[in-house]
Amino acid sequence: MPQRKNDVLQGTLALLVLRTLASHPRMHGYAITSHIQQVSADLLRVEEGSLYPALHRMEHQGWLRSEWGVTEKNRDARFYAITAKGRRQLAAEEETWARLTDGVGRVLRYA
Amino acid sequence: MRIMLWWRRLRNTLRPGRLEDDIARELSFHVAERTDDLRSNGMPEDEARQRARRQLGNVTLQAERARDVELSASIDRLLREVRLVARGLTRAPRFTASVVATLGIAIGATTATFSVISGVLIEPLPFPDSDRLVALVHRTPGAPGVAEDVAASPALYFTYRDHSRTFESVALWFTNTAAVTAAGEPEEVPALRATWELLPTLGVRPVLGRAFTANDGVPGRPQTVMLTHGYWQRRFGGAPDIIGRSLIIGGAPHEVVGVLPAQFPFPQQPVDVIIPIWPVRAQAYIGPIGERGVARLQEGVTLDEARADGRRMLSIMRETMPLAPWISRARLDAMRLEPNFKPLKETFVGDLRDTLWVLMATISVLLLIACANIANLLLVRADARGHEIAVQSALGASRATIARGLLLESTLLGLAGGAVALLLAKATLPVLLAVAASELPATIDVSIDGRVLVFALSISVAAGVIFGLLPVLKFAAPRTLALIRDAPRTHSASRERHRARTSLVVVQVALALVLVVAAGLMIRTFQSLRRVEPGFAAPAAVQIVRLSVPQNMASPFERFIRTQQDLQERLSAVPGVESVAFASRLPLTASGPSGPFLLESRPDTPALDVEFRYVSPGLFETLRTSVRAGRDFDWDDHYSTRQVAIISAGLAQREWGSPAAAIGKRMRRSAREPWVEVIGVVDDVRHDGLEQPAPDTAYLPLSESLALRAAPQTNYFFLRTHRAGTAALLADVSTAVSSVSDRIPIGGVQTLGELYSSSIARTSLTLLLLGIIGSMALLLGVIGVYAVIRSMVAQRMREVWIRIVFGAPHAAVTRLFLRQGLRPVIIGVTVGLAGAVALARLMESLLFGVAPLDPLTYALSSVLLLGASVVTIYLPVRRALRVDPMRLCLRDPA
Repeated sequence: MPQRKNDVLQGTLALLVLRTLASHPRMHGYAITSHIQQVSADLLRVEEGSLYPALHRMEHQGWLRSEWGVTEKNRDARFYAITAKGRRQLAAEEETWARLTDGVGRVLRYA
Repeated sequence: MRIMLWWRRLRNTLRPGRLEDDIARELSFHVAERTDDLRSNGMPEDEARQRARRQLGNVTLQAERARDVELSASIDRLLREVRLVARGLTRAPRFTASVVATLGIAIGATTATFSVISGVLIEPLPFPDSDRLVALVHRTPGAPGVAEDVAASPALYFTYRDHSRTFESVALWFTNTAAVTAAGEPEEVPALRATWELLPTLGVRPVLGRAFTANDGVPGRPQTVMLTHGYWQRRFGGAPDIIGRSLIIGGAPHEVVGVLPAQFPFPQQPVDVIIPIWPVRAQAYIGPIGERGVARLQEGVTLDEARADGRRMLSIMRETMPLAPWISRARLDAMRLEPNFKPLKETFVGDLRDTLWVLMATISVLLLIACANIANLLLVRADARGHEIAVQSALGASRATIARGLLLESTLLGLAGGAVALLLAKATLPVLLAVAASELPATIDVSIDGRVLVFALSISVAAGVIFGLLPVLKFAAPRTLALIRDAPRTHSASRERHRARTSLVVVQVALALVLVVAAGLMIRTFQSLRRVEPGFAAPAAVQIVRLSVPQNMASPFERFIRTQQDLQERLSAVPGVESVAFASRLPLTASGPSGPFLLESRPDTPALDVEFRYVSPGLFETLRTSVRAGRDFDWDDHYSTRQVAIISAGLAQREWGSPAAAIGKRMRRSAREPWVEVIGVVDDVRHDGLEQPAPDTAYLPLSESLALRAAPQTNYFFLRTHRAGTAALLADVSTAVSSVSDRIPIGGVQTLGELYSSSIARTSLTLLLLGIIGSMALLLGVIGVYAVIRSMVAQRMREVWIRIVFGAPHAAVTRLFLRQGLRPVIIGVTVGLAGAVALARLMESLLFGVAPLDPLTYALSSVLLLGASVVTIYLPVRRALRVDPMRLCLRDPA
């Protein structure tokens, strides 16, 4: 069964989240989904069911840190920020991604 | 950092609630935001919220998934690793079995010992608020020689009961025996005699009937008795109609009013009946001390406050209570009696504490030796697996991964050993308790409970980590990894490995020496005790029975003494009996009362504290205590009012220069008492136990007891006969006694030899256990040395053979190995000597007749270990040298 086009590919979620947080110092989970959706012009959609476990895993791996804060609408929310380790991971994943797309592109072109 | 991570995971697992809370909060925020968005797109609020919820899915599921991410990954990995390690272990069954068995024995011994410590020392007495129960013991710093824990008396009881500001209640008690006639034969049973407050003070209620009240025990009223649960079951089959029944106790009817609960751990040794006592205020003198006191502190009162209150009350007692005739106010003041109240539990356990901790310490050392041995085995195994580790490392396994694998293996072994240990401890505990029965408070329950389980589990894991650490340190070290990776079997790697194993030998030898010295000190203690002259001879051929004359036969005095003489004569007629005599107290048991005696020859000096006992004619002949001067008593001495005494040689020697010089000298209890003339001097007898110096003793005829208006109703009869200890003799004794009266029960049946053995029972028991532990330590230590030497020989034999081929004498080769092998042994012995000194200090109170630093013991123990090591080294070397070197040298190199 072909994957729905707007599902985020397994394994790329971390990359997307890290990338998002790299340019926005402090965001909560909902903002991250909205941001990815907006920036990708609704091409990519983050499943809430994957997002939060992923955020927690990334936090435990030391790529993110989180803290509780208050939004403009005065709601309690958990805000995430990228760490130095997270930035290194981002660089590594960007490189992997670039090679992957490059590789996949070549295969698609020449195979 | 890693630790923090693990800690967080652990916390997440243990306290999922907190994390779930966090996640739920975060997700509900998400729903709220989504709802807002949908609404701003024009959706009605309800629908918006529903939609938002649906999109998010089940909140709990989300939370679980988030938590699972962290947990499942690590648990999965752990389980996978455990499976891997377990499979590895089953593939080496001999290794696994020997490790698990060694650990099982060592941890099992430690666990069994700990369960005794837990039950006896740690577990509180099973009474409500038992920490508020104190034993009313006292000190007399001004009267050296008087026992440490001076007990209580009616005078103290009345004082404490009437004037205390810190006690909730006070009770007086003592134990002796009671002659109970229920139906048929009289039976002598252990009895607890106590004031009515005892049960309320302890917080114990009867399961049947009622407890004593202030009216029980009052002279003139019907007498009452309570039964312990055990006696009620055993003697009366648990009959529910026991209440109200009448028992004849000591010749008088007593009504059974109550039955105690099954668990009644008071006092240390179980009793069958409780009989109320009712001290008479008019007869409460300061002076005689024979009872014991127990009190319950008021809520929140500390022991120090109680002691301070006690000091205040003692000064009240000095003002309000009359003095006993033989004690002067000056002497009382000089004794400086002061309260030394202790937790009740402490007086129950007594000096058993030291013995138990020494045992625990030695067994832990044994466990350490076992760990060292296993570390050795693990090193050998890790060597064999060097290649495997190298492959793992080459495949990119980090040092941490390898270390974890090794530690996991040793922990798993530790746990398996722990499981075996629990089974062993469960099996051996009853044996241990049976062997130690005479030394343990019988009423205290010892079992493998939760605390013991936790202990066993922790030491299993700790042992696993301890012996697992060494291979980890060696093989996870970066340098070694590189070595293995690059050249798996170089000589330098084996030298590295060798150094670790040599240091293990040092540890093992050092620890083994500590235990051998401890066992050695106990052997020397035992020897010293055996060498002590007890003051009697051939004790195995002396039968002892305790005969108690009922109250109504104890007076008038002539009737009492006639009965005693009758008993002695009838018993003398029993076939095979050479001689018979009796005394009011047993030797060796520290049971004799003592009192002050003034000497006529030294009127100005303070009174001597002299132990006294009433004895019949012929006692010294029967016990084979030699009469050094003067003569033995005859029956005339017992009937006449002429006051005579026989004293111990030590006393005679010290006061008058020689036994003969003491004859005809006079002494008395106080200025108001008549003079007593010394008519004989006998050898010192160790009345207070073999390890105590023989006390100054005065032997008195029964007539002397008239002065105290208290004839000793209970006397110990000694029968010198080759039939001692046989059932046939007892049957004859029983017939002889009942021919005098059928109301005299026979109790306390034992031979003097048994009494002698039980007086050194604690030493024998400690010696036995330390002996076993010490030999095991020696064996394990020698095995450790052997393992190292054998691998050293195996490694270097080729080189050695070449030397031999070129003419090196065998002796030189042997010397080479001895030098190398003995080096760690000698270091170990040196270190061990220091450790032994530390343990010996802990053991000091168990030793007798040997200094904790006894040079002979230390020297012999060192020589023993060194000698055993020399043999251990020599044997494999000699075996290797027997092979024809040419043949091996010419063989193709393997």
